[in-house]
Amino acid sequence: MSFLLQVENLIKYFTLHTLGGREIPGCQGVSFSLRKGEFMAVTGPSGAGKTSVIKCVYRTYLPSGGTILYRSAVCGEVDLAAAADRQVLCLRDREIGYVSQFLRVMPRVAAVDIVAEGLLRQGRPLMEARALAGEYLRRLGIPRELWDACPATFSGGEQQRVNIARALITRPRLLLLDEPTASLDLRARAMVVEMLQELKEEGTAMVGVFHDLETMRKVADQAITMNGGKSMTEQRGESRDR
Amino acid sequence: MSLSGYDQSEACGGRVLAAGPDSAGSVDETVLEVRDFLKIYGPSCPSCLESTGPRHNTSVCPRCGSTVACAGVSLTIHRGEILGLVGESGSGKSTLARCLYFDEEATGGEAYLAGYRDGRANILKAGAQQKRRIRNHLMGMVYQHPHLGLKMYFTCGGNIAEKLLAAGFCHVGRIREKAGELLRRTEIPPGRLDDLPAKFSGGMQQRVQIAKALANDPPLLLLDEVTTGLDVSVQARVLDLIRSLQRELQPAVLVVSHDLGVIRLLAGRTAVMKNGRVVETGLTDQILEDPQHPYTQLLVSSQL
Repeated sequence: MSFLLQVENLIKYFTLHTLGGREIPGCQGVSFSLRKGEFMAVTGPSGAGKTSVIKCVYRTYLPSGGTILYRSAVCGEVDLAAAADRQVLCLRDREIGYVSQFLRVMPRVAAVDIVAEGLLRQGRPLMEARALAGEYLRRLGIPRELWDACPATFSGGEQQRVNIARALITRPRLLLLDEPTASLDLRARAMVVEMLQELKEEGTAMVGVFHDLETMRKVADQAITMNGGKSMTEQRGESRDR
Repeated sequence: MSLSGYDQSEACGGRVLAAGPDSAGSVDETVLEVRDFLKIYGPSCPSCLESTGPRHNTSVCPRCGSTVACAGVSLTIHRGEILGLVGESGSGKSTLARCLYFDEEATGGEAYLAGYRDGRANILKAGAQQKRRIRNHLMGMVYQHPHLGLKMYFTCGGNIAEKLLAAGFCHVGRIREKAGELLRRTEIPPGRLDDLPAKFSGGMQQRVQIAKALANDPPLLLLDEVTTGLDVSVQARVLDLIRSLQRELQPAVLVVSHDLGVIRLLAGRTAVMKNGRVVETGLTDQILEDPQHPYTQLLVSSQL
């Protein structure tokens, strides 16, 4: 079977003009590939360039070199490293999801509407989207009385779960996760793992940055360990023989 | 010269702006395309362009004293898309919006609007009557200062009716009905239809302005610093309103703001202006997290 995502020799460095053009390395020479329904974990110490890799794939960072081939359902084969902004936006709306480390949301918007937003952008009717959003919040253990509140005042763990619900609800083909379980308790963690497994079975490919190795082992099929911007080791087939 | 297909496509730069019904979504339905836009205040001289801009850190020509408010500005906005235009005061961003709405006359450049002559004629060169028509039927504008967009001593309903009449509505009952619906959408109590905007709070005046701007269901909406000067709770409400209206009605929107927070919440793509030039264009999150141009880096790192 062919790859859904193929990253080759990805390079990212930041040129800081405010510091006289100093170059700060993000990641260098990272390569990996991912099939439908596969989960790749990215591990390593802080500052190793893990987040740089997934932000390049999502195009929050503009890659400095390399290619990121993605086989899209609507646009065919796309090099995300060079794709037009409009095309990236289209893919984000339809196919590529992202769970960021921290939730940054519109002020005054209720949790349920934040979660429903991706569905509305895909053209689903409001009532249906809100009902489904409620279902996700319920599964992730957000108390019913908080659904209509703005998550700005939620606890760290609650915000993280809203963030996860928001990304999972659109059932993306490719999902990028930046420490999705960092601030969750054990029960919430187990629920997130269960929901990620379901998504995998539907064929979603995922790249996830993890510090929490135990959760990682439950979902990952392969892993790369990064250090100093480089991928040091690559392992395949971890959860295959579970 | 013959009117062959080649000549026609040449006349619009080989681009077709009026796309057909969307199959794979409204991906490439261009509503507005601006090319090489130029606006100079003052007499202007041959060295105006080369001696202004971000490289010289000024918009004022040292030789003739003219202000080059915008030069070489090119951008496109698609249906259902919000494009942010960000930059410091005096960078030329509001000038572009005002010229597109024909409040001021452009010095040069081209702008094509999908609803006008199939997007094949430069609206900046249209005659006065045509410009009025374009403005009344195809555009909505919300200004930073409500008194620019509203007649303060006309009733709220009267203000909206004015725009509806201009757009060709002529049935009084229908106008009242539509005005009521617009006020409901912008969360203004229908009971205030006959009140004067002069007696409204700033946030409410801004919402009446938005209602008025949307009255003709414009394919293009221009928002010039709409939340500047509002306190934060009102600001959040207006932003939320713009987002939901945008999702529902799918206009192409140009959001002009000096506030990166506003841009982050509203715009999918963003262009950054400095001294009358666009220095960087990109996905909004990329502009904010991985800015490329020195000025954008300064702007982002200066944010509170």
